[in-house]
Amino acid sequence: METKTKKRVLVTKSDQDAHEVSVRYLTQLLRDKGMEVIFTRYSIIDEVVKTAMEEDVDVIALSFYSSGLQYDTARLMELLKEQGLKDEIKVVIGGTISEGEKKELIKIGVDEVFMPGVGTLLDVVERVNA
Amino acid sequence: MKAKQSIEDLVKELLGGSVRAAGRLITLVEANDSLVPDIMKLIYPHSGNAYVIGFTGAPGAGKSTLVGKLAKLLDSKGKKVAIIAIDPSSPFTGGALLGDRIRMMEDVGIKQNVFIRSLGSRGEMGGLSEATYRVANVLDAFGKEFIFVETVGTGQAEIEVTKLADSVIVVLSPGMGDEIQTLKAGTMEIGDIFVLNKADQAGAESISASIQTALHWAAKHGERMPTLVKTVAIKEQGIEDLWKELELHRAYLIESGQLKIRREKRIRMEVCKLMEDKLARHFNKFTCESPDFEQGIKEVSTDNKNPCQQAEILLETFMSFLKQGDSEK
Repeated sequence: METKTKKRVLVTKSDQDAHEVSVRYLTQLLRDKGMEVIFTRYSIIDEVVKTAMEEDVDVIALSFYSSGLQYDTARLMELLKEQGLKDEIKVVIGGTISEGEKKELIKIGVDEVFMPGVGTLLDVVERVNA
Repeated sequence: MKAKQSIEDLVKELLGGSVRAAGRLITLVEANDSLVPDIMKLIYPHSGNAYVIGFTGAPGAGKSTLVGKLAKLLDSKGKKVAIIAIDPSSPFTGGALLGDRIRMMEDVGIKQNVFIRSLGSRGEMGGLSEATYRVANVLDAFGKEFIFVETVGTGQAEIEVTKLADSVIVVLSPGMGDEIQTLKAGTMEIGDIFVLNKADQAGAESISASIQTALHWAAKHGERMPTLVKTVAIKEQGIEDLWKELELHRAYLIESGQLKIRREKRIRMEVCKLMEDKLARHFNKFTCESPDFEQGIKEVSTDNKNPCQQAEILLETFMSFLKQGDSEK
C-alpha cells in the first residue's frame, strides 16, 4: 500500500507549563524539514491520544519543563497501547529529565528521550524524522 | 510504522465509529494516489447527510476560536460535529504548522462527538486543500451531522469554499480597514452570514454600520440578503445568535431549493476536478516519456519552428497518445 503521505508530527505540552519557546522553535525546524506539524497544549494527557488519532500522526513529541512527566507519560503509553497504536506512533520526549527518569521512560516504551545538554534541536529534528 | 490494513477493513471500522480509522482514511484520501477511487467507492454511498459550513476571513479575525465555540455549543445540543481546519503549506519545503487546533482544544479537545482534523493547503491557492471535498465525505460517512471547514484565511479572494459549503460564514473584525474595504469584490461577495467578531473592541460600531450598508447595496432582487451577527468569540458572546442565523439560512436553502442547486454545483466541481487531475497525470506522462514530445521541442530550437504552431501539433500528438493509453487498459 504505497502512499505519498507527508510525515505528520504532534508537538504538545501541558497547558500548566509556561515554558514553550524551544518547542515553538522546534515546530518551525520540523516544518522547514517539510513535515506537517500540529502544535497543541493539553489540559489532560488523554486529549493527546485523541488528537493523535484524529490527525493520524507518525510522531508524538512531548515537552516537560515542570511536573507531570511520570504520570502523563505513563498514561500516554497506556492509552496508545489500548488503541493498538504503540508500535505505530513514535513517542519522543524532551525537557528537564534526569538519567534515572530516562531509564524509566525507555522501559515503558518511549522511543527517544532528550535531556538537557545532550545535543542540539537539530539532533532532535533528525531523530523525529528518522 | 503504521500497520497496513485493507481499505475494506478501514471503511468497516469507520462506519462502526472508529476514530483511528477515520484519521487513517483521511490521510489516504489526502494522499491522492491510486487508492482514492476505491476508497471513495466504499465511502460515497454512506455520505450526503452532513451539512457543511464554511468559515473564511483574514488571519487573526478569530475564525478558529469562533469555530471552536460553535462546535462546543452544537456538542452541548447533542449534535455530532467535525472540523476541517486548513493552514498554509510552505511553497518552499512543503512543510506546515497546523495551528488552528490549538484554539479549539480548550472547548472541544476531549469531546467524544467532535472530530478535528488539520490539513495543509499543499499548494492550492483558493484557501482549501485539494482533498477537502473527499475529507468531508469521509467525515460525512463517519456520521457527522455538521462539518465545519475553516479556510486558510489569506483574505481578499478566497472563494473556493463557496463551492464546497452549504452555508458560508465570513469572519471580520474591527481594525481591519475602513468602509472602503467593505465595498471590495471577493470575500464580501461570498458570505451568507457575516460575523463581526471582537465586537467589543474600539471601532466595532462604525465598521458594523459600514458592513450593513455594503450588504444592503450589494443585495440582489429576489435573493436573500446576507445577515450580520456580532460576536466576541473569546468571551462566548453571540455564539447562540450565530447558530440561530445558521438555522434560518439552512431553512431558507431547503425551502427555496437552493440547497439542491448548491450541492449539484459541488458535484460538478468535484467531477471536473477529478477529470482534470487524471488528464494532468496523462499529460505529465506524455511530456516526460514521449519521444515525439522531445523531438517536437528540439525542432523549435534547431529548425527555428514557432512555439505556438508546435504546441498545436504536439497537442494533436497528445490526443492520439491519450487514445492509445486508454485502449491499452
